[in-house]
Amino acid sequence: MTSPEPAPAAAGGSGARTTFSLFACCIPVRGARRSVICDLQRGTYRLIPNGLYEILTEHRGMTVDEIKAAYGNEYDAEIDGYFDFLLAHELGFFTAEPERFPPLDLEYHSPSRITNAIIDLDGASEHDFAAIFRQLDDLGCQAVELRAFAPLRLDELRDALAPTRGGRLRALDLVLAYTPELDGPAFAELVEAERRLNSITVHSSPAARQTTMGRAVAVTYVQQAIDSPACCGAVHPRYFASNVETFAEARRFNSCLHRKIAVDARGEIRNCPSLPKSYGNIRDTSLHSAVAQRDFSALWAINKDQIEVCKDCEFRYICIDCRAYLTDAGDLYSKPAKCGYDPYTAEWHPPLGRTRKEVA
Amino acid sequence: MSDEPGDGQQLFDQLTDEGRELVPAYYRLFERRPAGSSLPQRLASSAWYQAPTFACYAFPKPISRCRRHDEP
Repeated sequence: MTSPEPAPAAAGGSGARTTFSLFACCIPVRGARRSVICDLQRGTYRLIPNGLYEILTEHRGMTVDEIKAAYGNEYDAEIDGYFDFLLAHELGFFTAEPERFPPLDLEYHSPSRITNAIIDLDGASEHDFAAIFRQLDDLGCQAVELRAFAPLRLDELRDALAPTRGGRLRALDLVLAYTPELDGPAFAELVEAERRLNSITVHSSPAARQTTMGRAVAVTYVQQAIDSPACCGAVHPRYFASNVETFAEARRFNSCLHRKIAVDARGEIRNCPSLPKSYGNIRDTSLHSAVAQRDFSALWAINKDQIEVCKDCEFRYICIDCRAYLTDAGDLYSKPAKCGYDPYTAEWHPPLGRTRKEVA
Repeated sequence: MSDEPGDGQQLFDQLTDEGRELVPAYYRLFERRPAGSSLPQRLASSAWYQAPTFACYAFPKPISRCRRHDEP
């Protein structure tokens, strides 16, 4: 750990009383064995020992000399190393006026009844995309992921996306089954034309690769077959989301299901396509009336501080939860089955549960 | 550095490999690191996201999570 600037000269010396402050966007979260500092501006996180978490929280507002004294001056070198680390990674700064740097307001509010949606389709789906996207628009939906488990022709894809053009929807993610058409110029033209496209995953591809198309739309080809909702629910650092919105939402609500709606391949309206409860079929039930049903939002309130094991995990506010695949099918508050992280040892293992375990 | 919308592609071309990997991102305009790197390292917010050439909003978290960990 090296420091780009001499830190503690002003921290414990003469003159103004100088203390260390984390940047407001850098928030420490304690786990059972270690902690993290979530950098919500840069979208990253830094692992730290629980000892540093303690310094940053319980000893907040103390000078470096006062902190060293609080530990009986037994750990002076380690404490200097901690502050070198924080400065080198631009996580905070020394200041004589900490009151000028208030914390972020992490209250979560959204003007949208629904913020995100999944639409699944397979070879037998008969979705009325114009109606679905119109209803999503009425609910204020900002982002949609369209998951095609079976190959789509480009003209079918074009028709499915056409209704998104005039509404408030702001981002589209696609999961598509590979066809040779997806390697051709017509697909590139489609990506260029659909300006709400954000990312595309092409599954069942002959080879894995990544590229960009159009306005730097990320296109990832994977060999894995994504052929049913059962593929979903993975918990892994690649899916961590370290940003203000997700962090604030996860502190109070379920980080996956809150303000989410799904239309599965048969048209059933669910909280997510992997959950068994249907709130009606899109043929005869509007999304609005589904959302209005009393128990539709029941799972929204299960946050990570209420879930066994997760409540002791340092990643709990940047990790996206799953309530469809659980380690204990009978316990709605059990750990996601597809998470292999043990916060008590700080080690990643293959997830224990791979079978579908539905909640009642 | 200008933050006019027309500079976006040019700025994206200047991003480091690491910077280009920072997707999803909100807005594709860039700021330099204060420490003096000559290359823009990361993406920064800007009101220009609404400009027609910058339809760049991305939802702040993954909507579904289907991909295995042993592929890109």
